[in-house]
Amino acid sequence: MIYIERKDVPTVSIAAAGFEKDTVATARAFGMPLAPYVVVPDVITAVPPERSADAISERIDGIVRGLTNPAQEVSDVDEGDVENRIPGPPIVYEGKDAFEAYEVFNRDFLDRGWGDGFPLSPPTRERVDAMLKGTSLPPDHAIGILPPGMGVATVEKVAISAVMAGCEPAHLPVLISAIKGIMKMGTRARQWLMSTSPDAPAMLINGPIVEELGLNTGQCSLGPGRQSRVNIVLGRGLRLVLMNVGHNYPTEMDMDTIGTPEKFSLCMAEPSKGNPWPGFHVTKGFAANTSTVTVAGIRNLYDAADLTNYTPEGVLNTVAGGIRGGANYASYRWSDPDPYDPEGGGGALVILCPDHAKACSDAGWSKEMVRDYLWGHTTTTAARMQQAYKVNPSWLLPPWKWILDLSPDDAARTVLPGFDNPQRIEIANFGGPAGKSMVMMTNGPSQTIEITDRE
Amino acid sequence: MTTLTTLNPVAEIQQAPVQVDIAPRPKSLDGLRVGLIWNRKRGGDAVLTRVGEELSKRYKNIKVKLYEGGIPTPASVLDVAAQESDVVVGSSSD
Repeated sequence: MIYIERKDVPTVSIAAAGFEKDTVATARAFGMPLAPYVVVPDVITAVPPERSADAISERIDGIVRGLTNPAQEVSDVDEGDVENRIPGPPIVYEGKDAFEAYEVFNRDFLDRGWGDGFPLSPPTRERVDAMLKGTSLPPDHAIGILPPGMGVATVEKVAISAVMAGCEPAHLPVLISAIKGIMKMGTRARQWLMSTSPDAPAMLINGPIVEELGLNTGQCSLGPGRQSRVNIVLGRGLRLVLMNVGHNYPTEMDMDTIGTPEKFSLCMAEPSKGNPWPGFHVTKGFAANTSTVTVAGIRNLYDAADLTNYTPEGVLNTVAGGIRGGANYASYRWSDPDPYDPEGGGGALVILCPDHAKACSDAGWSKEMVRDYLWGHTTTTAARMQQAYKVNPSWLLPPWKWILDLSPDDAARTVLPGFDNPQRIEIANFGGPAGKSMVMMTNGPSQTIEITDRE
Repeated sequence: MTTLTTLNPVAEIQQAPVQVDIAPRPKSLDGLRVGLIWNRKRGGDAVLTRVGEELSKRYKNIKVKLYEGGIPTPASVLDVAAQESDVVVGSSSD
């Protein structure tokens, strides 16, 4: 809307209650802080359309005012914690001893909204300088503009959050490359980072750096504990960078309806040796001995347990069931994303555990064969589409409108692919022994970036 | 007394060219072309359609047109809407 307003065409945006801060922050980020908007009391996507339409009828004066009043008042909306959303000088904390000073620091950082809720490591000048030794890039180098809040990602600002997360200097280049991946997603990243859905940023690390940093690729690698310490602090580092550099602050530019524990830390790694197939990064076009980080927006984790099948088909039917469990997601693809974003609309990142991968590779299946089989068995029905769209047919993209005309019997019999192409399914291999794979629904394809500028 | 000095972790927001003044406003909507931009979020179309109906009741000879956008709405659609409209109402956040 600001794009249009800048073309000298008056505009008004309609926002739902609870999204005022998001609206104001976005207007500010795009350089027009006084862009008019009108608020309706319910979340439009969540209530019957008639209710939202009635609500806007009652607020039509606000629309008219926004379009005709040349002197827009500064909105009286609570804009949030403005003073804690701009850079500032170093902060001094006092205590009767070092421990008390630490506690004062930690409480203050959490109060300002700069932490994830767990105790933080203090980003002193000395510790940030030590962190900066992990990369050959200069501290003031701007890596790019990080969504959703369009923060200027300098190496030093990334290093500060890395210290807070408990990262080590050798971890810094991983975080720098990870945010390059998020930047590469463009506006789609802005959408999933701010979404009302529980979309969590995930990293998958490949290549020799996996062993060099001591990342866990085996049992409990996504869980708590000493075996996953590096995974944990890296995932946490990305979380804090997204908040403090990308301004992805919860309830301000992260509008998640319920939230998800995946957002605290989600960092995976494939072992560089021992897998039956080429590594994930090789599939993406990188050399096996190149270290990479892949980023993806992850929504939902499904256990795809199968301890009773030993054939590729048997195991993969179970895994495909996990993808189908992503449920709504497959049906959403038929309306969301918009027709202009062929990459949007989601997919699945399948973590095939070693036992399941072995069942497939022992039978001579390549990773592409596994992917194509999963795609062919990730299906939905026209009946489900009717259930999703019969009330509001305008939300179904035009090529699929015929689905609404089918009789109930025909709709039940009509099977449709859950995804429009096999490439929407990506496969990684790690985990401990036992036939327990995992399906992660993704918000569009992942981005893989080489980890460079290491010291 | 012990002190602990930390750096501030918050990054500067990209300095988009700030434009404090909004576009000039018409005194009345009579006879104007009203563009409605739907980002395809569920329900936004019903809300915008109603906006068009309400404005048509209140003002003489206005022309209403709904544009289907997305997230984000591509510049090509916005350009056409800006070209064909005197004022624009859009559904944005949820």
